[in-house]
Amino acid sequence: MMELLTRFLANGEVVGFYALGFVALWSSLRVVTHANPVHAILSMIVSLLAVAGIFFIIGAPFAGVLEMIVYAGAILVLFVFVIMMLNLGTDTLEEKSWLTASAWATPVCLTLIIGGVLVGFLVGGERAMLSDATIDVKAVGVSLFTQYVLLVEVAAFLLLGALVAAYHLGKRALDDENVSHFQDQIDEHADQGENS
Amino acid sequence: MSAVLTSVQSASLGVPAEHALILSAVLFVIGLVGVMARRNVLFMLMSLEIMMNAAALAFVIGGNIWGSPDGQIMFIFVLTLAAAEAAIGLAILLQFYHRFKSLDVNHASKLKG
Repeated sequence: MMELLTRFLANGEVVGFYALGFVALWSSLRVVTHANPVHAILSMIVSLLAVAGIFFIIGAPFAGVLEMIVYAGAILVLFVFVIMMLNLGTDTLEEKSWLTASAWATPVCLTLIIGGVLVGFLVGGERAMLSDATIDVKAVGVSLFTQYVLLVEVAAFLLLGALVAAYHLGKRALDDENVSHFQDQIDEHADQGENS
Repeated sequence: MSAVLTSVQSASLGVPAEHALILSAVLFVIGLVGVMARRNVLFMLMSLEIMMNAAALAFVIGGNIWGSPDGQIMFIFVLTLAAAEAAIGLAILLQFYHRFKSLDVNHASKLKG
């Protein structure tokens, strides 16, 4: 037992991999089961940072840095902004009344079956080991702008489409308020005009 | 230099690839539980992000096993997709909350037009 422990601790990367994997699983579970959105978003940031650490360990530093900057830094800040705009926090605690045990039971059982099948596919067969090699940024960049340059263009179109769609969808919500306030002002002016 | 690289590439990390893939699969299933069991739109969007992240992790693991940068390139595209999805999803979420004053997704059955 001790021998196994010392052999395990001698390899820091292996310990780091399993520890970060455990952190990622635990914080993702907390995201799914929490009722308070702010606590859930903080757990989600922890989960993404753990996955970024796993990327560093398995030799994908570029992916790890992107995970931290874009995912944990940009996308989750978007979520935090939306939570702040909606002034959530205590309101969504009402979800506790939506979430009865019977509402959880069936979907959780079904997805656990799916999870069992997925894990069953992975267990067994010939055993491959993760390699120690680092794939550096240069290799990724060269491959990205030679072999996959068309997909980069498609990604640019996708982001432009998302920008336009998000602007359009978000604008109407604000416009409703603007129109209603504007209408009030017009009505007030009309009333004043009639009174004078 | 190339000899050094090949010797580094042949070294093993000491973690079986299936453990990493099982981690990715279990993360995916946690996200799927979130999408299926929760009724709050915000939490469903966050669970979708967890699922995308798990899929991207599987891509990077594959890139590590085969020693090619393609896995990280697919990770970049998944990240792009996640950013686009989050932007549109959160805009729809704002509309939804504006209209129903609630985040219960069951209200979406009443959407018209």
